[in-house]
Amino acid sequence: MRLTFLFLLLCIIACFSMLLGKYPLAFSDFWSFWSWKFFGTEPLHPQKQALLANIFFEIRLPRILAAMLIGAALSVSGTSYQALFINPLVSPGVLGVLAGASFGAAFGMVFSPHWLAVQCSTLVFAFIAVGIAVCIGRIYRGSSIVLLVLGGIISGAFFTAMLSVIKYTADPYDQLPAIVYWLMGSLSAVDRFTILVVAIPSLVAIVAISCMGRQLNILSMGDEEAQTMGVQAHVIRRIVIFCATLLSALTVMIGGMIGWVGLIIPHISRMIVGPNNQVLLPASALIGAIYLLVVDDVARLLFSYEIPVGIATSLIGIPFFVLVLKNAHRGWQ
Amino acid sequence: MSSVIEIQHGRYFIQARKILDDITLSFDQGQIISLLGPNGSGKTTLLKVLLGLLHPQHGDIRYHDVPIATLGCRQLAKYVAYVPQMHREAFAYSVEEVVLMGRQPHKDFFSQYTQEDRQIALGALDRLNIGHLRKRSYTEISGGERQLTLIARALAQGADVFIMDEPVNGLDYGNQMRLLRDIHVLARDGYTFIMTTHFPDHAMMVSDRVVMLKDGKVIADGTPRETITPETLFQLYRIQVDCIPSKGNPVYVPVWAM
Repeated sequence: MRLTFLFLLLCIIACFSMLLGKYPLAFSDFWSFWSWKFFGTEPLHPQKQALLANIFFEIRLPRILAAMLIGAALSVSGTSYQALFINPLVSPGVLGVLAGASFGAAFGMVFSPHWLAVQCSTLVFAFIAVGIAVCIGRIYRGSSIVLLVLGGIISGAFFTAMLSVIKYTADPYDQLPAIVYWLMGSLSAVDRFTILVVAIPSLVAIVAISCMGRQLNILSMGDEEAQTMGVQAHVIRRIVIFCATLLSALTVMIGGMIGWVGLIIPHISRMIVGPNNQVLLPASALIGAIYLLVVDDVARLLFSYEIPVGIATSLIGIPFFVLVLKNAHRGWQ
Repeated sequence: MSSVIEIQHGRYFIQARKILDDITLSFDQGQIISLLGPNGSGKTTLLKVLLGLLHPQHGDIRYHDVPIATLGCRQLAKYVAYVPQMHREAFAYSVEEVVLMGRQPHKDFFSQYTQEDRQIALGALDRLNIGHLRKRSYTEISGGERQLTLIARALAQGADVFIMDEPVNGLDYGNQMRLLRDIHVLARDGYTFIMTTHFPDHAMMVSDRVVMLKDGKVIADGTPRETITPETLFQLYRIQVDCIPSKGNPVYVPVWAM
């Protein structure tokens, strides 16, 4: 019920966002274009038709899809990690995936001119970073969750340091600004091809995590308790970590580092729909998609020049988080 | 009466240290079994071995004559439920949601809770007279209510053996007694309880059988009146106690406090 409402809200905002942009569009044009597209009503003037098709399919739609995908991906991985680590202050980057992916992207930019190589390097290093965290977590016996988090801190610190090495050695006139701008997080470089490639694995991973709400509820009672209720904690944990890593890496591939979404949205969602992960996971995906879409609209329209959306999410997110914390204890203690 | 669980020659050690040393026990249906022993005597390890959380290096554990090794964790969860010490949860699930978790072993990977699962969960809550709490958040109810919620979850799980680690820990006197009474009532309905406790009085009050553990070995096993004596209590805890006869069970009071 609430999920249906959120889904409809997302659709409405997505349609509305298509009207927004530097090129002013009348609602009547929008309407006649899409009714021609779907219902075969009378087309517009061919020249106008081509212009609108270009605006919608090449510029606005990829960007809207990118914002929704990234928002949903970061939120759902944040929510699942909070249940997995039994800690409401955990964010998707806790296992070092964002540090690894940023390093991978920078590494790719310095050593290869091919965009595809940069994307592959981002994905590969994201998984390497999480792999290192998981291995460190396994070395010693003991509380596996604490060791896993420490492993993530170590792995994240390592790749952050390596990123500095890359920045230091990069060409300061050409490569360095590209890396820095990329890491600010922006959706301005999104193109249709990247979105089409990334959309399918993202959606699969988002749906996969959303389906594991029941298991994640139980897992948040602790590993041993979960096992006595018939949940194999390590299996679920592996699946969730794999999906969340994939999602985080894909968001970096599309838009660089976009911070705070994966921490704030789970809290807001928990305030709206409650802590039950069966509802919370899909709700946080939808709310995350709505949030990033709106913030991206603001980021590209508010000023005469566009501000990177990563900066906007942080600037909006931080004060918002302070406000949320006031009520957050209702959701957890 | 048939034995629901047995453990034969169970040995568990970490490196050279013996935690459980040749434990052979078999438990009957509908009994309340209290495990008594000092800290580090292997009580909790024994519970974890029975729950399949730890695998003993030697020995054989059977539920209804089925070896535990042949049961997956979902199958095992239908035989035996774990009732942990009342704990605080990080997330404020409702009481009903917590009890529904007990239906997990009856569900496939992607299937949702059905109306039937909800009926079972509500039935379990009603059985413990806490049906009115179902919409309340698990983090806001009292310690005694939390412990009852966890027992309701074990009931919903459909297991007939309940394993409890110091169930009264952290509860006030009234809640301790009410909890023991509820356990007693459920045992009369055929549920088997295996619980650790630090209170010989509680063991005396509700148990059908007491097993005393020290350094991983069973040093006494029998009815409470047979096993709980000033001698065995001294052997376990190094505390001198005096027995005060009373109308019901004898009461033990430390000598220094008299």
